Order: sequence, then C-alpha cells, then structure tokens
Amino acid sequence: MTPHSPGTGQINTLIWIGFFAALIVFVAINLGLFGALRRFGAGRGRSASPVRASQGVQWRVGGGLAGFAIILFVLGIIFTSNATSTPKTTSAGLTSFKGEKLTGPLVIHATGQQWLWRYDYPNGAFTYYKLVIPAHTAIELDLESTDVIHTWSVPDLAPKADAVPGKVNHVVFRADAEGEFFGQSSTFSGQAYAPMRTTVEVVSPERFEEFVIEQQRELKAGNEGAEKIETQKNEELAEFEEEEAAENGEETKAEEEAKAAEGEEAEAPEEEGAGEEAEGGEEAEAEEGGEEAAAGGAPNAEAGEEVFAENCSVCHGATGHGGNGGPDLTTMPKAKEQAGAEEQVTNGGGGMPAFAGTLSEEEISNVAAYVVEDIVGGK
Amino acid sequence: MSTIEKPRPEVAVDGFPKRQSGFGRMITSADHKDIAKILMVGSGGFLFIAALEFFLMRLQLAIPENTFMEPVMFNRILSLYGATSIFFFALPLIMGIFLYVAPLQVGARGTALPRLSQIGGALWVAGAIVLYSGFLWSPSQAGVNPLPPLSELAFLNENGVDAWLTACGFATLGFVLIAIDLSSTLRVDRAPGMAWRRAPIFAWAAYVGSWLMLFIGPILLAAFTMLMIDRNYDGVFFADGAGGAPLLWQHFTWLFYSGAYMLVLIFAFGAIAEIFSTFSGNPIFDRKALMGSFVAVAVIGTLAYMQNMYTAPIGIGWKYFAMLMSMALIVPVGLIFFNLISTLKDGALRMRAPVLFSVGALVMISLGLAAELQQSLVGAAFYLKGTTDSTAATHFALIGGAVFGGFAALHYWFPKMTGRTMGEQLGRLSFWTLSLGTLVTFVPMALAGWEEGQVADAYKFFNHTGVNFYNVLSSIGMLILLIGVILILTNAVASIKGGARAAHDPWKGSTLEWFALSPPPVHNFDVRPDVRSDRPLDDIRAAIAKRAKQTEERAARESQPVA
Repeated sequence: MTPHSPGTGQINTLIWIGFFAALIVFVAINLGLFGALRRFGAGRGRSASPVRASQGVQWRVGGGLAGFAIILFVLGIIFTSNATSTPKTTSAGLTSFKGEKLTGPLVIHATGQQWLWRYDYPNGAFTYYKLVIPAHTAIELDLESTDVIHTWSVPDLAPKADAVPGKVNHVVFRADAEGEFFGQSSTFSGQAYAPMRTTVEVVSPERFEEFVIEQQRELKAGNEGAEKIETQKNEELAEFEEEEAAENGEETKAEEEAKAAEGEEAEAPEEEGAGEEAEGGEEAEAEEGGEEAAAGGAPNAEAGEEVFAENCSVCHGATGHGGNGGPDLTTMPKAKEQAGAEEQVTNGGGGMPAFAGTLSEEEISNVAAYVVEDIVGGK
Repeated sequence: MSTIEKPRPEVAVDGFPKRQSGFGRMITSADHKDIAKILMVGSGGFLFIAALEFFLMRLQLAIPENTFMEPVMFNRILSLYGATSIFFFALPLIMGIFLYVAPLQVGARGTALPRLSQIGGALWVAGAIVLYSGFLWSPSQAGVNPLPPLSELAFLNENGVDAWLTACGFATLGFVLIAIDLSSTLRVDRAPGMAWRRAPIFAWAAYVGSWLMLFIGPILLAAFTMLMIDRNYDGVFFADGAGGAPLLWQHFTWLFYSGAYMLVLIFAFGAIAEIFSTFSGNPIFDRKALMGSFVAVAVIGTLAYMQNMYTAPIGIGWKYFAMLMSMALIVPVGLIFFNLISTLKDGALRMRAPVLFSVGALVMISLGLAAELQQSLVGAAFYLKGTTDSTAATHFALIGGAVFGGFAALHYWFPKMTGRTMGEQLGRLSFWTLSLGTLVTFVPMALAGWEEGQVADAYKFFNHTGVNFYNVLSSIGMLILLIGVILILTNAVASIKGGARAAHDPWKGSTLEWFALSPPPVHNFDVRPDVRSDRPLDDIRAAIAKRAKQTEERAARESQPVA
C-alpha cells in the first residue's frame, strides 16, 4: 500500500511498528531456541545438568514481556485512534457544496450488494462501481449492505470496514492526492467475490461538483423516462418518444408481439405490460415499432448488448456464458423466454441483484431481448 | 501385534472371549485407545485430503485470472477445506492423542465415562461421512466460516450448507463428549499420590484443553443449531430486518475458532514440553509457570476472539478490548517459550525425529504468532485483515501446532501405540520437505497480502496487480508441502507394520505411560504405581535398580562360603 490519506499514513506506520515488534519476538525466540540447540550439540554425551528455576526468573521474564505488551498496546491505541479520527477539510478541499457551507465531512452512502458497490451522493446522484470524491476533503462513507456482508476496502485511502445488512458502518478519510485508487472487497461473499472491485477517483472539488450535478441531471432524465413508461399513458409515451427520439424499447415489444402472433409465447406481452388498460396503447406502439423492426431488427439487440456489457457481464461474462461468478445463461430456464428473463432482471433472486431501480423498464426489456435472442438463441 | 495379556478373573468365569477381527473390535470398543486410534487414523487421512484441497486451490491461483476452475467449484473446495482442516484434521488429531496418551500418563486403567468417548468417536465418523457424501451432491459454497447472511437460505438454497453444518456439528458434539470423558478421567482417575503438581504436563494440557472444548464447543453448536433453524424452519436468528443479527454468528463462531486455535497451541506446547524434557534429560524448567501459562493462554486467547471482527461495525472499545487481550497473550506465550527453551538448555542431547519436529513446530508457531501480533493491532488490521497475509499467519501457527506439533507427538508416542518406532530417515526427510513446503507456500502469500493487499478466499487474482510471482511461488511451495504430507503419512502407515520394534520405554521417559506395555493392554496397567514425585518412572527405575542390586548382594553374600 502507498498511503494517500492521513489515516492510512497512520495505519502504515502502525503496520511497520507491528512488523518490528513481530521481528523482535520471532528473532528472540529463535535465537534462544537455536542457542540452546547449539549448546545441546556441545554437551552431547555428558549427563544433564539442569538449571534450577527460581520464582524470580519467571517474574522477571513475565514482567519484561508485560512491559513490551503494554508499550505495543499503547502504541496501538494511539495510532488506531489517529487513523479513525475525522480529518479536517483543508482550504484546498470542498468547503461548500451547492452553495451551502459544509460543516462536517461530506457524507456519501455506499451500499454493497452481490457483487458491486453503489454510491449515493448528497444531492441524490448515484454511481456504480466508481466512487468520485473531491480531494483534500473530509469524507464520511456510510456503509450498508442489501444482502450479505461485504468489506469496503481501498487500502491507499481509508481503513477497510464491513458493510453488514441492518447496520451502518462509518469510514472517515481524506484523500490528499488526485487520481484513481483501486479497491477490492475482502470478505467472502459468494460466487463473484473475487471480481467485486471498486475504484475511487479523487478529483478537484470543482470537478466533483460538476460531476455530481451532471450525474444528477442524467439521472433525472432517466427517471422521468422510467416514470412515464410506468404510468403507461399514451400521451406521455408519445411525448417521451419525441424526447428520446424513439429508441429501441418499442422494438423489443414489437418483436414480442410478433412472436405472440405466431403463437409461440402467448403470455410474454401480458407479463411485460404493467397494466391491462395499457394494452391498447402498446398495441398501437407495436404497430409503429413493428415497421421499424421490419426495417432492421439489429438496433434493438445492439441496445440490449450495451446494457448487458455495462451491467450483466460483470458476473455472467462478456458473452453471457458465465465465468465471473454468474451462471451460464444458456443453461438457465428463465433466460429462454422474454417474460422470464425480464422478471429475473427486474426482481433478481438466486444471488442476482434486482435491477428494478437501476435500469429503466425499457432497458430491462432490451437486455432481456438480447439475452433471449442473441445469447440463448445463439444469434 | 501380539500383546501379552495377563490372565484375568473374567476369563475363567465366562470362558475365553470370542475372537474378533482387529477392525471389528476397534469399531465396537469403548476403550479410549481404540477410539483415539480411529480419530488419529481418520485425521491422518483428512490431512492428506485437506492438503490436496489446498493444492487444488493453489493450482487455480498459480497464474492470474486462471480458468482452471469454475468459481463455484473453487468456493466448494474452499468450504470443504475449511471444514476438513479444522474439524476433521486438527481437532480430531489433538483430541485423539489427548485421549490416547493422557489417561495412560496419569496411570488410569481406562476412562471414567468410556461410552461418552465411544459416542463421540462415532459422531465424528458420522460427521466425516456426511461432509464427504455431501461432496457427491451439492457441497456448501459458503466459505471457510459460513457467515450469514451469505449462508442463509435466501442466498444459498442448496442443501450443501446444511450438510456442512451437520457434519461439523456432529464432529464438534463428538469432541465435547470426548472432552467430558477426558476431563472427568483426569480429575478422578489419577494414580494414587499423583497430585496436579506431579501430573505430567501433557496430561495437564489435555485437562485444560478439555475444559476449553467444554466451553467453546457448545457455543459453536448453538450457533450451528440457530443457523439450521434459520435455514429449515424460517428462523430469523441471523437474518437482518426481522430482529436477527448477522454479527451474532461472528461472535459465536470466532469465539470457537479462537478457542480451537488456542487448543492447538496448548496441545503442541504440552507435547513439546514432554519431548524436550525426555530427550534432554532435564526436568521441565518451571512446571508451575508452564501449567499456569496454559490456563492463561486458554482464557486470554479465547477472549481475544474479537480481533477477527476489527472491521465489523462494533464499538471501538470492543476492538481495544480484543487488542488488550491479544497483547496480554504475549506474557503467557512468552513464558511458555522461555520455559521450553530453558528445559532444552544444557541437556544431554539425543536428536531424534520427535525433537526435530518439536523444534520445527516452535519455529513455525513463533513465526505465525509474531505475524498475528502485527495483525492484532487494530489499526494494522484495518489494512491486513482479509488479505492473504492473515491467511498465511493463521496457517503458520496452525500448521506449526497441528502438523509439526502433532507429528512430533506421534513420533514420540508411536512406539507406545504400536510397539514400533516410526522410520527415522523418512521422518527426517519428511520434516525437511514439510518445512520447506510451509515456508515457500506461506511466506510469499504473506508478502502478497501485505505489499499488494491480495484478498483471501478469492477464486482468482488479477494480472498487473504485482502478485503474479508470489502466487506462482506459493503454488510451487504447496506442491512441496503436499509431497511432505504424503511422505510423512507413508512413514506412519508403513511403520505400523514395518517399523523397527521398540521396547516399552524406548526414549527413557519419566512419565507413567512408559510403564505400560507397548501397545498397552485393554486395562492399561496391571499395577497402578504409587506416585511420589513428578517423575514417577525415574523412581520406579531407581527402585528396580536398588532391588536388583540388593538381590545381587544377597546372592553374592549367600554364595560366599562361610569362613
């Protein structure tokens, strides 16, 4: 580790103190042991002449050991409390956020789930995998978990800490250097535990604010889109189509409708639609989309592929044939049909996280289509 | 092996007992020696299996991003290894040697509650069968210590976790029953005159170890039961969100694992004290200090269990408490090392395999405990915990205690158990192979953890993280270690039938087990000697020599012509 924060500097010092204490212990024991053995060789053949023990010897040795232990204990407390104390935000750091002056550390929520980290910023923006923080600023990371125990660990920046479901664990640190820092979860958490990594990008305070606001704007757009789909009102849908320049979601639906017409998978469209009353609207769409699909089915799979690469390949592998902890999708019964795949992606289960809040319904149906047609269907 | 059985009254009353095959007799016997043999032979087999499993994992981790093994397969082997190494190798070997030797050492004619030990041994065998029949359907993938919520039904709905818990639970219950038997025997069945201050140090280690097992075993069993209820009857002990607490499991199990760790150390120190005393001809340097230190290690070391939870959301005060206990452990462990080395000093050396293995055990244990010392500083653990550095430290101490210490004890008591000695040449060869293997496996592993923070238990590591060389070295080391394990097991198995015949007291020991025949008859001793000192066999030897001299003198006197 190369410490880049005041806390990890303390930790590193303590590790070296521990190392030298360990070295002293190890060398002392083995010098004594091999010294005795060497003398053993010299005394071969003669009869034993034992040294008799006196009580004083034990007290002296024990007292010496106790002194050593007390020194280590005190050093341990000093450096540990230094490492866990909240550092001060320096003048070069983020002193005010969105016009409001920051009094305490900047609080960011980190949520562990199998097998990724989600970071929620104070203004509602969030990111996956990558945490962006301002340099020279005291950060408080509130660690939570939605499923099993994970350990958030970025050795260069902060002490590691467990995210335990039902409890909040706090890590405070201050990054003193800009750049990317690497971290890896270090509590066994199941299949894709090994590739459960995270990066921390330390940027200037100005860049941080830009980033968070940008992220929030994107999110808003995405959320609005998702909400509109959810309400399933024709008007809004039409508006949405204009706004988003008629993306690929409809094509997915269109294809399903087409399939349903062929009588292969009659239940698929019902599962997919949120409300029965929306059927009419969907069908109208389907007709429109159908024309587009007829013009070329490829864009749909491409969109799904993108979503897959960003969200699913972490576990299921780049080609969907497993490898990073997730199962081979061609062997999963649910991945054989659109409805099953969508349900699995939306609700998760069997070790897979739910993507309902993460991906819009449109994206979910895209990716489901990609899985069903390209991966399982073997296109 | 034929033993000379003294005629006993029962024979005359009931006729000659029906001849049974050795195996049939052994599995139905309630004799502590037969139960112990089952445990020891079984744990020898599991040592090989555990080493093989570790070797397979190292094979997967030899090169970065290896695809030799599917992650699921790796996690299954990891979980199996965790159970095998602790519950089916280290603990049964220790309990087995305790159960065989300690009653003999105190001059008991059997154990006080032999049926308990018999049930214990049977439970352990049942556990072993459950664990490895689980291998045939769907083994657990919950890791070395199956931490909930991962081990809850919601995340692992295969029955492998249940099988893992059942197997380890059976084994632990077995150990607890054996511990009850052993502690009662050592409490009430010591030879006349053998006050604790005169009892052999290894018997004291067995006594302390049994009590330790009586405290920690039921706690683990409680945790296992609760998790089983969670999994099978919709319990919420460890599930969050319904009033359950995932951390509760960690308190229970780390208490057990820390206690078991201390049990391994106490066992090794006890056996090494006997061996050093015998082979140097010196009495144990300060028996009282050693006996007290064993108790202190058992209590303080177990109380330090929260050093496994330094990164968990528990109050910082608890972490400091664990650190205090870990630091306090320096005193008794230091005193033990001091007294062991002082026992060795200025003695008359006989450098045989047991001494070699004892020295190896002390070196490995000191290396492991020194590394643990570094990690028990809370701040240092904020980086080192969960890395391969901590894996390496634990393995140094436990391989030192259970493999080196265990085989030191086996080499030492092998003549008593079989009437033959273990091969000296092969013993030395296996010692050096094991030592080399252990160092080459775990030193690079420790460095990878410390320098680059490589995480423990992961099925792969990434290229360009600076750990490639360490990992390939560690895998080569594991191959050497595996060969060492095969050598030492071959030596043990071959020596049962083909070793050099040994007399009843081949090492000139000073404790009572050497007074019995080799192997001892069912009732151990025809005569229970009065014990007048802490070296009863020396007294017996002196008495015999005196008697012989008197007889000689009398014969000489009587044969002299009256002048």
